[in-house]
Amino acid sequence: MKGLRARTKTTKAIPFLLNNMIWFLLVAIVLFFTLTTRNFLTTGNFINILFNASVLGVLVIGQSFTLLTGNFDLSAESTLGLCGLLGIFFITRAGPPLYGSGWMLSPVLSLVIIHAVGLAIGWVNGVLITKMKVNNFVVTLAMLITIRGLTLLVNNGQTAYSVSTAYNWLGLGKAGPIPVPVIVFLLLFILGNIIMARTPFGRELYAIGANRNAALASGVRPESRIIQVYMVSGLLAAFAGWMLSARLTNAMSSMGKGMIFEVFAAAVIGGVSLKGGQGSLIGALGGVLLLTTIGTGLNLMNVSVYWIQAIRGFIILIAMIIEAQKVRYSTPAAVGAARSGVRPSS
Amino acid sequence: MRARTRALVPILLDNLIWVLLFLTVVAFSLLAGRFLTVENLLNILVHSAVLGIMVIGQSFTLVTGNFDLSAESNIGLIAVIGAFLLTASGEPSNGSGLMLNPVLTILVMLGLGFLIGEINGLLITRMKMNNFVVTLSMMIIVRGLAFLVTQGKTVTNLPASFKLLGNGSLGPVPISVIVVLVAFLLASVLTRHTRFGRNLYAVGGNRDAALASGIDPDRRIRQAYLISGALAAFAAWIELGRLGVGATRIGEGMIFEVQAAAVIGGISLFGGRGTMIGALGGVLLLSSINSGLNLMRVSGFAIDMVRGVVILAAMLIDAQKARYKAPAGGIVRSPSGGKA
Repeated sequence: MKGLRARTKTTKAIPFLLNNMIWFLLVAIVLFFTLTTRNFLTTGNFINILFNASVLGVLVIGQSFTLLTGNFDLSAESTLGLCGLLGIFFITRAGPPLYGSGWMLSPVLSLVIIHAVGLAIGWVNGVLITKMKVNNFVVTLAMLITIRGLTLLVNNGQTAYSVSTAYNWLGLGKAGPIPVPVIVFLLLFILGNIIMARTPFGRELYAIGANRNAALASGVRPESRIIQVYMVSGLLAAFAGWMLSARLTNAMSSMGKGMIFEVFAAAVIGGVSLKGGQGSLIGALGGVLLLTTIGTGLNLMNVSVYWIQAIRGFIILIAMIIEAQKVRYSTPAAVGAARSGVRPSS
Repeated sequence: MRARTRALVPILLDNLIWVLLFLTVVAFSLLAGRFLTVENLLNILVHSAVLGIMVIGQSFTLVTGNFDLSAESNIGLIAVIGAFLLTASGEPSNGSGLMLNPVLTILVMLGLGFLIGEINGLLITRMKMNNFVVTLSMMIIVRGLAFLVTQGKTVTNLPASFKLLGNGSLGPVPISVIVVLVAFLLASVLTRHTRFGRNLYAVGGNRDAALASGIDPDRRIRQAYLISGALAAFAAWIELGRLGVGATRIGEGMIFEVQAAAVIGGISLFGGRGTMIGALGGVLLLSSINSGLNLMRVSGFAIDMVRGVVILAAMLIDAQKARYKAPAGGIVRSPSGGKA
């Protein structure tokens, strides 16, 4: 630290760069792909990236709420799978070629049910964690396994197909040139950001994540807030399930499997701390866009699918190495400000 | 009467995993005719071997308060590279054509395990990165590399001498069963009865206190990751012998089961608590449930769900320990996120 004192200018610039790292990285990646691939910087491709980002984005919003309070929700990927399958299962004919339940519920009723299922899963997670005092990682890990098993049971592993245009609207619908899922997921980010940054509810989440006992002492009820964030996460996972199954117009029992790792990567790259109390939804959006841009760009470059996963992993790792250096350069005051998360600039 | 119950409850809770295992075995013995036979019990142990070795590695890092999510990809990459080095090129073997000596191959595999473990350890201790994030990234990278090695193809025709560890037997007892039981024994001695092991618990229990008492926490954490990496290589060796082929998807999704077994066995995710013998109990419980449900001809689709519910139930009971024990245990550390 002694050597740094001489370079005041550098020390001022570095925290600024680090605090907005995700956006600089995103710009750098976009520049790179623009220079190396001809069709990258087009409106069509830009919309395509947002379209690809939508399901991941919705899951990341839910996960960010639980992460803010210092809790994981690993079960989100299984909730997405179950709710996506049920959504189609309820509204389609039994047997080949659609493999539904034969109950032929109306799409609206089916959607109401799957969102209730999402809320219920979140409530169970929250109650087990707060009232039964089970570790959040363990609860949601067990739920991840249980719900995936339940998903296999529902349709005996068979893929269900949707022919309902009303149901498929969230995945395939368009408003002018812009796909519906793009609009919906951007609106959800704005709404989530307002709730997190500008409402007492949001500020309480930061307080619980930063210091639970202090929050309790200042009149916040951590237990009910934690149950609520799990319900938010469950609800959004159900919504993401609808979005994904509507886009694919079918639901396999393995839908969403392994996705949780990408969700964590996006949230954490975007600056949402795994320890709670730090980060913003705008940053998380940056993380989602970064991961999706890399995936889409590498595809356009005709990079072998075998390379894409390894390259994405490396980029996540590099982003995290840079991110970890924040601690070395930011003053304690800056950390405190970022922690409160109520600065108008962030 | 109340006082008696009070005295009994802690004993039951401390040995909860064995009580659960006993109840599970009794239940399946009654429900499935062929469960309690020597053959089936050996079978359960065989299926526990790879999971068991992985759980030992994970327990070393968990005791220091660190995750190693990359383990499931490490076993995949190391298995594929091992198979690749051993075999002829082109169809049907899909190997490298090097036909490397099995002993050399095993050394290369171990070296690779150490290397990945060292990278994890260095990133976490030197670069001050969160362990969850580092090993999550490594999990993605290493799986990607596994696909790259063979372009997703399955490698076959492994030499018989190499496969011996996974599919050979000494008399009636499979070699892998002996190996995994010895490994648990060694790990238990290492963690309970050596200074190294006590240091690991100290680092996981209270890092600052460990530092103050002259332990180098960073060094111990790096060593725990080295062990985890090496054991992934060892598990890869067993798995290749058992399967007879090297597939890029070996180990995929396994980390959830590894964590579940360790945690059911009493290893704390916050570090500093749990024993290797307890973790062995967790492995045996999961494998017994699998075997029992299979024997009962429960649909494969239902098995996953039942397992999830059992894990959840075990954890619920485990969490109630906190209510019956004195706060001296320090378990009530609030249900917040993974410790850095």
